[in-house]
Amino acid sequence: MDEAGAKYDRQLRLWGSHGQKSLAEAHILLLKAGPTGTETLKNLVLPGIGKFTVVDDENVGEADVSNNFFVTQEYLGKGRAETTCELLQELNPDVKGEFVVSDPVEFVTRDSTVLNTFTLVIATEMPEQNLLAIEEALLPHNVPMVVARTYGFIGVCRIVSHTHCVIESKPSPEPMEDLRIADPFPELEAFVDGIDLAAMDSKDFMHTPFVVVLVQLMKKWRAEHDNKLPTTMAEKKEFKELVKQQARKSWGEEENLLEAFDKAFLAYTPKEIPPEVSEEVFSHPYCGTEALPSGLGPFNMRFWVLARALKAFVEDQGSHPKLPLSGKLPDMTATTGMYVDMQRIYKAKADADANAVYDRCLGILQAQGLDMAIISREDVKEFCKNAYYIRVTQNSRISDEIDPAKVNKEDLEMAVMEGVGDSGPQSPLLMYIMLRACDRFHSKHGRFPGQNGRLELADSDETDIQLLLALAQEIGTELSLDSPLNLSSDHAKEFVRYAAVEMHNMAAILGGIASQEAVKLITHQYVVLSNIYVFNGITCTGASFAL
Amino acid sequence: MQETRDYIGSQSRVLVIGAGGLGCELLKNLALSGFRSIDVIDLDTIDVTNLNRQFLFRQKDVGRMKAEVAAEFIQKRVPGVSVTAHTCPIQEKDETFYRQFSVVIAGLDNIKARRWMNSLLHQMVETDDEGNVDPDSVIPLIDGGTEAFKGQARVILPMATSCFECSMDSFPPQVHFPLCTVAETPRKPDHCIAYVLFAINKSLSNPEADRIHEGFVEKFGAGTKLDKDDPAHMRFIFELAKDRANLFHIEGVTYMLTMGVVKNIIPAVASTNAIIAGACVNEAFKVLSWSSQSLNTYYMYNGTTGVYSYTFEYGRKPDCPVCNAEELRWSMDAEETLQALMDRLMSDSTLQLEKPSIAKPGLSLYIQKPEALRKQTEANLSKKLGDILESGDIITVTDPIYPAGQNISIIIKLD
Repeated sequence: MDEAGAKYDRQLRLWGSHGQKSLAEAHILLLKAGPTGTETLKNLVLPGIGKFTVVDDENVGEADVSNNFFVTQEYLGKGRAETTCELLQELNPDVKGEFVVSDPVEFVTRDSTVLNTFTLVIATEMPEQNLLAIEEALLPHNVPMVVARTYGFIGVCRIVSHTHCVIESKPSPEPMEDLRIADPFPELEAFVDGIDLAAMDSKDFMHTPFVVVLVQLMKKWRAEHDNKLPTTMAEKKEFKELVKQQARKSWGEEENLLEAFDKAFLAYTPKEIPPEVSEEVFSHPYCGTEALPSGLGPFNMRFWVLARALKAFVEDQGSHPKLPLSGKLPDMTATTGMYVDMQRIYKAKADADANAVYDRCLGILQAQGLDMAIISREDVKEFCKNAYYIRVTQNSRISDEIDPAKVNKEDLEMAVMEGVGDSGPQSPLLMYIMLRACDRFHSKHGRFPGQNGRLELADSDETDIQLLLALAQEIGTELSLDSPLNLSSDHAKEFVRYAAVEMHNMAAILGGIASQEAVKLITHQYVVLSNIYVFNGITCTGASFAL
Repeated sequence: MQETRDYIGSQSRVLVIGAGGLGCELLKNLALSGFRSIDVIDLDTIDVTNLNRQFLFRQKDVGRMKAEVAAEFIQKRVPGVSVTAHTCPIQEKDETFYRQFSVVIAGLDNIKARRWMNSLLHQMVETDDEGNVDPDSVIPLIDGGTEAFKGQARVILPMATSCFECSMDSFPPQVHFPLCTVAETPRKPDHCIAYVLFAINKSLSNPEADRIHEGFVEKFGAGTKLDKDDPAHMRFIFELAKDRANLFHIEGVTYMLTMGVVKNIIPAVASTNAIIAGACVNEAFKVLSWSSQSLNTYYMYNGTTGVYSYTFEYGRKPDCPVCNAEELRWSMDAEETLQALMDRLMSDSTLQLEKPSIAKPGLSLYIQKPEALRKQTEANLSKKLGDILESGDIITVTDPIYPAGQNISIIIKLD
């Protein structure tokens, strides 16, 4: 193992060397270098992103020294962008750091061509109005954004990404492979037919893979049942009994039969194409026949060509279409010889499927006038291996989220109901509404509630409390929810007390959440958050909302 | 909030157990949350594979003690904070040591150390004659754990909430490769690697395994124990596992997989550690300052598919051997031997013991350590329970997994 391999070993086991390559090629833009921003970036510099740019226009003050790990006393009065860039880069010599002294909104809106150079934007310390401006500027460039924010004991992470494609969504726990037990392909059937269980001695018998046992029994069943699979509960039970009857010793001693019994359902439930693939991917506009837009970026371009080829592969099969086989065979009781032989059969079928998809890829690339070299046979194999788990996700725009006419009402109502039933006044949804009220306060008064330069709650805060509560209720009214929001002056009091303070510890939590989502977005692996996660540090509770 | 910080800074001393992925985050968060007096304990040295997340360490620190380097870094970066490093196993420190702390935060990667710490903090709780807990003797334990994109944080208030031991059955016992599969019907590359490992450790004996063992001795010298951190040893296992895999036409033996199987490596990333350590320090801050509510009692985070988190109260187990005085009640057949009772102790999924010793009032039944005592009591193992116990007798079980003084009482009902 080389040095870089050793250094990154514990993460390579999650996202592989191809995931690491995506990270190493990524250029991250950080807007605002407060603790939430630097903590997020820290968790991306450590695993080895290629490059980052910090944009910030403030100077290091006492507050920064007390809550930001990438600022020290010696830098007091110097630029925050420069300081944090230097101390963050020191974490990992593989990473290149740059900084720009500028107001973030101005940086993003001034010259939008610069945005094309970034893989991902991380926006922190941003009130709603600023986020809207940044979102608007990013839209034409297809650059995803992760928003991270801490406000006293409350934190919010938000993803803005239009169409995000994932090949390796890596569901956990790992679902059962498609073994085609209910609908064996000819090569598997021939292999199974060639095995004479009756002629076996008891040692060989108990080392016969459960796949063979089930395929044989189902063949027998179908012969006796009009070529039909068991469908009713009674029939399924009967089939399972059939498995039990194969025992030569007392039940339980033959592990292969125990496995066959446990997995008998595989013999009567052919694996379906999941709706995430058949609907969300295959019905996506990019999966049609029109030319793919050129600004998609290399990963997405490959993804959609592959997805179209996969769709064609499925459609060409007629009434009972299957996704390509993965070629993976889970471990099961078997002799080495029998297992390896069977593995070869599955592998050969998977290769044949992948070749069929590859041929369709070539056709699509040609028809679209694209470079034939952008997709290799290996790419197709990887894609087919994950055919069940490819995902396309869409995050809503912030401008829609805050528009009562466009927000996802169904999710909102659900969130309100859960909030009321679950954790009452501490519900993460109420905290979300309060934060929005704070932003509204900010846009009205040019400061956040409670920002009065004093440490203690002052008389003037009473006014802020009343104003803030009214704004929160106003938001509730605008959303015209079926059930009322249980907002009280206690909520307003708590948020006035926070006075928009960022506590290091909360920043660390949000930095963790935001960086994890960033890694998922950059590597196109795992499924990203949809769309908002609110963390309530008072009760250590959190919830995701697809608003 | 400033006042709270001042209080925390001047009044409390906190102990961080483990200076790894969670530990580095914990120390940073504590230092920047106003804690002024921090201790950290870790017996490990820095390895190059730590650098992707343990951000207080650099390439030049590889080989040095984690606790020392971490303490130096924090003290340098955050003036006014004192971090004291301890570089020994936690089991070597006694009650007087632990008594100094207002809260203990554990960022460990193993269950054994957590059980020990949990048990000791429970033993240290004092009660008056009426059984009321003396609040001054209670040291909260905040425990974090991570694996890949998943993690959990929990608050344990000894004798008030459920404890670590209450949840032992939620940790499945470690999966081991079945010996007969590895020896006779290998199918996966893992089986081939395990074979070489078993052969070196002499857990397997047949001509081929013996040949591997001899090869190891020849190369590294007689009496050399397998060192999982020695690349030469690892390369040896890898090469031989590859040979065995070729023999059986099994694909997929790589150096990376060899490391993973032999060292039982758990994937670890910076982001998850940040989330969980942050949640832990949040709780430490609240528990000491009474400034807010506490986590009740268990927070889990899973970022594998979307973001999912769940907070719930982990209930106390009425027969928890650590936080509840109630005896366990077991029925055994009088005809069964003491060995059968041992087997039951060893396989019990809620106890998960290592090397239990058994006594009844005034009599040692089977004591595993010291060796002389084991030899003396060994003969009892084959005796029938009916000959050495009366139905209703209370036996006392001790185990090295617990601190001295912690034992499990079981009422044995003989049928």
